[in-house]
Amino acid sequence: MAVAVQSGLAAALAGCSGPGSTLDPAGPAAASIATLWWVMLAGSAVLFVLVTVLFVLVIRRPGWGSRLSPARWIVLGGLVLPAIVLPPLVAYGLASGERLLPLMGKAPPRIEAEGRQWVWTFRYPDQGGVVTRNVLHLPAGVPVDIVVTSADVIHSFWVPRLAGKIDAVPGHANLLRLQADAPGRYDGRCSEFCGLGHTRMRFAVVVHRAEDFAAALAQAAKEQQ
Amino acid sequence: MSALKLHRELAAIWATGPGVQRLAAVNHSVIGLRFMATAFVFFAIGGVLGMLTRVQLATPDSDFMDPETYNQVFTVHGSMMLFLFAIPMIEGVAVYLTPKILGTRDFAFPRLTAYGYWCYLFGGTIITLSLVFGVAPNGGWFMYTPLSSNVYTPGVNADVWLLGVTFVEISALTLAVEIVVSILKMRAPGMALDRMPIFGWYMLVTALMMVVAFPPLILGSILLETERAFGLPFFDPRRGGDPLLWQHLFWLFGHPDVYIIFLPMAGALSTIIPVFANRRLVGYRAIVVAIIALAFVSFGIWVHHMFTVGIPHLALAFFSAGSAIVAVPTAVQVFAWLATLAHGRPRWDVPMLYVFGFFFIFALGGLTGVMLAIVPFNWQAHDSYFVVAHFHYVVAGALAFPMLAAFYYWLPLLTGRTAVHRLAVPAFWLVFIGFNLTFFLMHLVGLLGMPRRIYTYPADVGWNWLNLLSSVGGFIMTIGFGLVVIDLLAQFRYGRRVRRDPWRATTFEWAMPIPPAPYAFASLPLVGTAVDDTAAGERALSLARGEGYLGFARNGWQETLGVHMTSGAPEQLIVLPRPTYLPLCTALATATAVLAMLFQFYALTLAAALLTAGLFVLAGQSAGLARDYGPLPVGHGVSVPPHTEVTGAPAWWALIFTLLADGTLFASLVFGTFYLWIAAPNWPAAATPAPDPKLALAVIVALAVATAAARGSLRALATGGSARGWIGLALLALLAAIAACVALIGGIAPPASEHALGATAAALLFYVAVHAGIGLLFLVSNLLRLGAGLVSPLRSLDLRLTRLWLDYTAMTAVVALGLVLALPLLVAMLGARP
Amino acid sequence: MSERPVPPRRLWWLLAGFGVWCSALVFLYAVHAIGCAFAWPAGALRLALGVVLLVHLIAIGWMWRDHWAASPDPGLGPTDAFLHTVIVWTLIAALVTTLLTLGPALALATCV
Repeated sequence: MAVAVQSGLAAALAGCSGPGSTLDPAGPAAASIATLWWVMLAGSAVLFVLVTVLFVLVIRRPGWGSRLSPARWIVLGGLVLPAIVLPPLVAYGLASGERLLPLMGKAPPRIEAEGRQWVWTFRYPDQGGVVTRNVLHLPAGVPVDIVVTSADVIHSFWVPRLAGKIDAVPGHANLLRLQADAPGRYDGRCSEFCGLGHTRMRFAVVVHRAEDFAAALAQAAKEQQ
Repeated sequence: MSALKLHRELAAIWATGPGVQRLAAVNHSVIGLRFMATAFVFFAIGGVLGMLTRVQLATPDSDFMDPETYNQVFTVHGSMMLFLFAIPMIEGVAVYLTPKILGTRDFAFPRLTAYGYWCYLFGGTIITLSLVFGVAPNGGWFMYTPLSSNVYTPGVNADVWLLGVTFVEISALTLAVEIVVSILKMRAPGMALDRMPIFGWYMLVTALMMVVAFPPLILGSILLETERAFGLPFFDPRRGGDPLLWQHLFWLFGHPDVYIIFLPMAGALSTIIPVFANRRLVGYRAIVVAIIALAFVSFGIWVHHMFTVGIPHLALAFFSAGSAIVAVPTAVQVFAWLATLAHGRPRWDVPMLYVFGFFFIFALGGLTGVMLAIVPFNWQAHDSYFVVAHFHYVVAGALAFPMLAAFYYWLPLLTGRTAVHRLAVPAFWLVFIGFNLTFFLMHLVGLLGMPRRIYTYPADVGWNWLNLLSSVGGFIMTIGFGLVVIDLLAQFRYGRRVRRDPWRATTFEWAMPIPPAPYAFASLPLVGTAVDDTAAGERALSLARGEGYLGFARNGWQETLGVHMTSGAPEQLIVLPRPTYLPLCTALATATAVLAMLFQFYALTLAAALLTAGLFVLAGQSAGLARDYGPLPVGHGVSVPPHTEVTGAPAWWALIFTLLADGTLFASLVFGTFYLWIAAPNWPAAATPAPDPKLALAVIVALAVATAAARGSLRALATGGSARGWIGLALLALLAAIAACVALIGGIAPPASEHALGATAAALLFYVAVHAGIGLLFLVSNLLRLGAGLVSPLRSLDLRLTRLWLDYTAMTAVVALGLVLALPLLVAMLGARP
Repeated sequence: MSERPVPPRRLWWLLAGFGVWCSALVFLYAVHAIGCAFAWPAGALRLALGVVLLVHLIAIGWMWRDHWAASPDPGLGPTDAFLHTVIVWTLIAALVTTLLTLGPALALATCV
């Protein structure tokens, strides 16, 4: 058992850098969310220890907590504590969410991603409408807006190492701003249950150096046909 | 009078018969236990399904199950745990305990309790059998369209879910209304709201939440089933519907549902913790404020299940902040419990072990809940195993651990014994350790990118060890639950015998014989300021001797007291119905309607639905009393009239709260109409609607005539005239309204099956027609009961109920028809969109 | 039980504060959806949302002030005192909730 736990932990720590890990960000959006996560994890650990220790203390040391009046207990724990923790957290969340939005001011190039049971089709209007299937090609170091749509049921576009997910909802077009920092290969997948083939509805994200992007894409599109 | 003689007399009146007569049971103790036992069976089935998923996911590239089987297994696991275990379990707890804790003999509508149980049993059975036949629901427990539409799920799988779950929801809704009315009107005499045990407040708030939370889902289910069966495109984006409407309706139910599960269990904790702390609960008023706030805020955060569907960030922010702030009322309760323990002299026993488990697990679930409230993090974690871990922590923390604490606390009431410690303690640790091993690691595997609902995964993505350990934990937990069951059963035989009220509690359920008699209290306790802290066990003997209220048998009536809503002063003598097979028959008729719908025998569905309605009217015929009695003595020199002769009878309040639920359903429909108008793709439709204003006016006028006639009938009854003529007029007016509605539906453009515009118009008109149709049932029942002498100037409740129903019908009709008439204008406004 | 009983309709007040909060949420959500669908200018939309929020805050604040000023009726006994406290605190809670849950959003980009 101990061995299993140990090797599990080792695997887990090594696994922080897995191909689909949100904890191993490869772009500014995922990096900002990963930072948010570590901050929240630290805060939660403190609060969790606080509640558990309080519970154990009030049971094991009768009278220990009676120095604080009952009303104090409720006001301090139920109102003051959340008042210290929650507003800053929500403000932090909203501010970082706002920075990840595909704001119209500096509209970057667009790529269309269409989900269909159980295939992803990517179109590149700026590259002459080239089409690739189940492989998304991106230039490194520049933001791209992905226009996510669906041809049938609801899917969800998710490249954990680059950004959060956005759903592909039939009848709607959703925007997701992505940026990959460095060339490489990342895992992407459908993350909204979409029927029998949901498990297999994965795609690869291949990031090229910005100057090689057009050529690499043309090459890839040709090979796929 | 001796306690034994009184017991014999009351038992003869209240007891459920032996053998096959058990099927006629309406007693809350019997039905409550059945609810809990049945819920536990579904928990076991759902647990086995959960274990099957853990077997499948233990290793990468597993071929233990094919994807279709896996989809059915996880869908039924989720649906069963939420709809067939969690909700019915808290209903069972509510039915069994609430009357006892509030010091009354039963709930207000025993036959409705029984009907609710049978509906639940049949609905659950349909879903379980579908799994056996391999046609179980396979679209996930929230059944997102268009995947669940007949295009992408052509079989009966989704219909099983929609019909089975709706069936169970109807049972939940009837019970919710009953719980609200019973808590407000049926308590121990003198139990003012400020002296009500806190459990009563929790159940009251929970039941009110159920009254408002279930209608959106029921509406959603009806609309989706209509789309599947008859092609009305409410959710089909190609024909002006929107799949996101389903998500709104579902989560408008789904989020409050979590708190509906949590609050009764928090009520149990608020009851148990003070007993083990040897001190009164700290912060009674703060807790009441907290649960009211919680009830509301839990409705205002449904969109946090939809952060990734493409709603603008500004709108998400409302729900993000709400989802964070909803932690505050919970924190208030948690610290009230801690303060109670801190200021008491805590004892330690098995229930407290589970209270510890609750604190540990619910704290983690709550903290990850706040994390998920933060929008950007939600974008990453949504639909990953992080969410799976989160909601298992929440539901186990909110339900499983407090429920087991409650079982260990209240089982001595049934068995007269306490738990077998040598079994109970190791069982707890197995469940606790197994649970944390299973689900804690899921947080991590989710952050490593594992999405929900995949049936397998490749070996090279770094999830292998975490999944294997989760599965090992799952098996440890299952062994633990097995031991818990063995322990609970063993308690009946091997537990240490204890005296009455073993925990020295102050709530009334301990002031009764063990096991509880069918009449619960031989006489009803009086609540006064002086006796509030008396150990309940010390009052038991005096109550058994009949020294409280109603300590006698009269006319073979099942009697209990109805009290003033706020003060608890005795106000009416409520005479409850005796055991009957009617609830079973009505539930069978309802089940026939559901099954016929499933197999597309629509004529049979209609016939069975009419039969169900007829049986409800029939049930009305055996309610009430055949003559005026005037005030009757209830003990201690107090006399109150029977419930048939007062204005605030339970049935009156039941209709008020039913209309609250109905109004929520109507509001959801209106919301749906506006939602599709503003948000759905492919609007406007090719054809422009042109409803006939003359027909619409005819509906309104006819309904106005019906409401006037209902008033006329009441006046006639009061002045000794004949009410029948007025009732006949109302009948004709309603028939005219229905005919005009049908004509309007026939003339809808675009046709209902071609565009959501027509479909919503049809739904609004159909709503009016159905309510007018139910109005007909009210009127028919009035005529029958007038003929049977069940209505008199003093007993005018029937006619007042009819008036209320017709008023509601007329009011909603004005809104519905106004909206239908405004549709052309709304469509024209869409032209102004950029 | 010697006091006059508190009229049952008092109980509706338990729902009043958060009822207004519900209304605020519904109207803000609706106005926002309509504003975005019809492409109102960002400033106008933000102003409309601000007005909706303010109206609801005033409504709760007004109810709170009303209840705060009125002390419980001694003729109605402890039940009334209890309800009075609970109602006042639900109003305060609703006011704070309205401000904190619905206020911050109005600073964000309007329709993205």
